[in-house]
Amino acid sequence: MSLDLAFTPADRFFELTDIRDWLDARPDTFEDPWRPDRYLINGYPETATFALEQTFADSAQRPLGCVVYLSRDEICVIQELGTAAALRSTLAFLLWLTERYRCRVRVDDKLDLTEHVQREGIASLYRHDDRNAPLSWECRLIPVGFYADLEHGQIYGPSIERACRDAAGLDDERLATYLDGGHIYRRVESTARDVLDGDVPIGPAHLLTDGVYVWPADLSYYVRHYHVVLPRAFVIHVRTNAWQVPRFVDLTALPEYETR
Amino acid sequence: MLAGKPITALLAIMDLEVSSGRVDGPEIRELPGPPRQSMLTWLYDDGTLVRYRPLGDELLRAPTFSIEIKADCTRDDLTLDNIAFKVATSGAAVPKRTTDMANPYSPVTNPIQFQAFRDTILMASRFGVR
Repeated sequence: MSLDLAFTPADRFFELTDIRDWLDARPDTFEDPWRPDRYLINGYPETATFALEQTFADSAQRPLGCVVYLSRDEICVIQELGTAAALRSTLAFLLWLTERYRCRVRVDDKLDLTEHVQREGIASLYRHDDRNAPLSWECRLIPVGFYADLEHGQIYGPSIERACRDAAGLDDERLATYLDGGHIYRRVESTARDVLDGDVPIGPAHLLTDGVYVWPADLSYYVRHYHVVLPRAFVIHVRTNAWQVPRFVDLTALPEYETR
Repeated sequence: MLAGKPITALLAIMDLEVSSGRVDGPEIRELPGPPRQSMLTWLYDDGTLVRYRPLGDELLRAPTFSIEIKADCTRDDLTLDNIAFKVATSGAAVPKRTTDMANPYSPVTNPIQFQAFRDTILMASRFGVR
């Protein structure tokens, strides 16, 4: 029913570190750079980075998705602006939250849904189509590093210039090594060139994968040379894989990735 | 009649509606927010529901009115489930949820257009915006 909901813990405080860790690991979710403790659940990993950039550029940007406000004694979820994919992803968060915490759930001071949620589950608040749909990235490879400025980038991909940093990040080399170790998902004849430095040739513009994410082969070059920032969810994913691409990935079973 | 009117004029109209006996005084609901605020709702006998959020919402951080039509006058209006549709400032019907409308743009390949279409529809049912 796409309500705005408030969750208060029944017998203790919310552990915000755990909740942040969970949200940070979602490829479609990011924290508002201007307002800490405000997360935006976009629903689509492909547009989450774009939405983050929009939010960076304009702090008053209207959210494209659902909004989660975190505090130790209350979590508010604003769902009015959410797409079906964002609602489905928000439901996944609330399923996790209500499994972990016994919560009081209310819409306002007149409507308390706690008993209903305890009896029927949080998913019962959502329409059949929303709660039974897969997450938007469950049946797709998640793209990372398809900067709009690149020849093989996405139209609404992030800007590589804005992703560059002056200094190397702590994990840049490990990330670049991970990216180099990806399995070739699609061979590409053309050569990728450095768009930031006079079209210097980098190497074949293959697409690589670890079975979950897909990235252009030149991404490691930009990480090493320009220290580009990669999405937090991807970095967490790589860390979870112990900084090594899984050795065996059934490439024939991977979903088709549509380049745009 | 209501399009383009400022919030103060809309509040005055609602006062007049109450004093003339066309509708009962507003019910106050405390919204957890953010922003935390007291929302006023006026319910007419024919199922017309007027809401006033003094601090706005996630779409617009400004005082706004909305007018909604209940699907069943005998049932409560605490959730959107019993709301049939909202009313635009032009008088036209507006979908009550963003997911109820067939947005012609893809949120993945055309996010700017998708959002602009969505926001236009949503803003259409917000009264008091100048």
